[in-house]
Amino acid sequence: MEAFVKPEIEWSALAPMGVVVATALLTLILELFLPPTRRTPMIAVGLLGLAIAAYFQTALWQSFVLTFGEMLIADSLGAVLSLAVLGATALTLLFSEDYLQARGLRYGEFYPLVLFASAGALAMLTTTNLMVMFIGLEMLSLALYVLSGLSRTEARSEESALKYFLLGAFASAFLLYGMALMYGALGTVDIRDVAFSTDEASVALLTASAILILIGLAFKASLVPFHLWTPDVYQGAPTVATAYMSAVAKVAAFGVLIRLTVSVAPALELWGALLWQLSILSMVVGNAAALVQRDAKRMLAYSSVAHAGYLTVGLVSANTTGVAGMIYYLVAYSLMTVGAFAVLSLMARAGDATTVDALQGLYRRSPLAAHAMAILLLSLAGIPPTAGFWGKWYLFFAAVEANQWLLAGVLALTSVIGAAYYLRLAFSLYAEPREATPAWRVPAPVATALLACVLGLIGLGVLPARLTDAARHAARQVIVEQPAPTPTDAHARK
Amino acid sequence: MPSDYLPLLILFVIAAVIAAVMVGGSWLLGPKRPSLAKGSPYECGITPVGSARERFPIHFYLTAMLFIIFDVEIAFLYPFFVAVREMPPDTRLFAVGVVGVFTLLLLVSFLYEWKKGALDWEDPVEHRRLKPEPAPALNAPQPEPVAALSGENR
Repeated sequence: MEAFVKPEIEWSALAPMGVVVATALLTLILELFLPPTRRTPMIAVGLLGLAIAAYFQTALWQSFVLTFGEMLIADSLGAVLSLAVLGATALTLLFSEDYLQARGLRYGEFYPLVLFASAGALAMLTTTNLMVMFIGLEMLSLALYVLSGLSRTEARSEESALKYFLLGAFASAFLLYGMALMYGALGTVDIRDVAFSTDEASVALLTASAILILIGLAFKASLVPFHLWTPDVYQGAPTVATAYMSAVAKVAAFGVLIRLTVSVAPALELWGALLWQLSILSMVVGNAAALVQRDAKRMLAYSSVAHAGYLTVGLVSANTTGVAGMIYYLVAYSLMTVGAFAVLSLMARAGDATTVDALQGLYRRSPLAAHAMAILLLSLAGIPPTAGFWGKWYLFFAAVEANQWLLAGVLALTSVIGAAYYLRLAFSLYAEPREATPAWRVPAPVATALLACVLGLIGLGVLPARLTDAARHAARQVIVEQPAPTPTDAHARK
Repeated sequence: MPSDYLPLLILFVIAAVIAAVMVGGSWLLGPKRPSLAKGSPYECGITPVGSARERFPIHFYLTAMLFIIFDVEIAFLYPFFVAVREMPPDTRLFAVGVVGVFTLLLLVSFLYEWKKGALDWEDPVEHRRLKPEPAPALNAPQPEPVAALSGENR
């Protein structure tokens, strides 16, 4: 019998994920022993854990380590996107309790579920191994299915959970089949191996596997034509769950897509062509459909489809500018979407109607919420002093650099269409309300979260250099300095 | 090499032939005297009552889920404790740590289930609501299902 050899482990690379899982377990235990009216200790423990995880993650920021038998990679791309995930999670923890109490959803499981989902997202972002990626994805998805069905007595929430679960399970099956075929073609499940495949015979198998994997991930990233679940799930799920999933699922899916594209695109011409089509379709369909929505949650759902299309422009370009632009955009987008849904979650105190009509005159109810929403919408539309503008700018530039003129044109044109519905909503916030309602006092945690989003977006918009430098460094690292995989049996066979 | 799999193919063919001979032989040669009792579904010798598609108490599903979790745990732990003895000491410590984390995760989930009452079979409120209909008397005339089945017999 061959002796079990202890793997060389860089514990610091595992620290952020480990801390998040430990925090989730701790909040789960707290949930059992605290009365349903006392959630503050859980939230405090969650935030503390996330802060510790962020500290460890920041320490990893310049490192470039492959550890755990090459199953875990600690690089700048993983660090920046993991920090975005941790930030979005912290914001969700901050503003959720108000919504959950107002809706009477006294399920303390919300917090451990969110934290477990984040641990899954971190696993997806810090690996090049498809199996680890899949387990991370399932950790994230299973928690999201439950979160979207959290409002158990409400038919729309149940519909959302069931739809998400059934379609998500199909997408996972596609993904897994693709991974199996990739193993068949290459003999490994490490995506870095794809770049080194020279075997003529395996090209057909590799093509099939790439298509299947792309379908699975396009579903998770809600790219057209795999977006059909998005509006229903976003609308039906409790608003705080929507806020969380719109940010974290997108960051995780695109993080994986970046790593995949870097490895697969040079080996397979088809990959870029497919992404090109997904990108154009998503931008056009997402923006056109968002234009006619009467419900703000549905509108933001279609806008998230459109944003997925913008992000894919960076993937098609597949150059340093494109990947750096995507990283910048993902960080900015997490702030925008979490913030926008946080404002919508305030509507729980007025019957939880999120139609555009119900939002009209939000200024009269709460100037703070209205101002915050206006700035978030400006950023989503990509108006200059905010981070949304720079994100689009970098992606546009990346497309031009890669000579993708049509893509750049569609990006610019659909952004203008997008601005129409964002600004229409922003203006209506300051109009006279349809019916008189009492003024709200926005609770301190929600106000803090909103302020963090708004200041973050303006800060990134006015002084983008810090993040863009980091994003550029990460992009260069993942594209140029990616370490070659250790020779395995698969290579020896050739 | 494809030829390496030839024995496997032969095995498949032999298995298929044996199965076909056994089923087909008894179908061709065996006497057919159908009766009501023979045509009814087998249920440990008891006459079937009604359809098997009923609503089960949710507890059955919970029990099934609990079983799977702890079944997997045992499936991992047995081989682990056999293998751990053959490891060098420093590796052994690491391995015990890894399994400790695995067990801790399951322990917390077990604690959760326990505290949430998944293990209380007879929840007083639930129990009253889920109390089954009074069973029919043993010598009462048996209704349709069995009679309906008899028409299918050749």
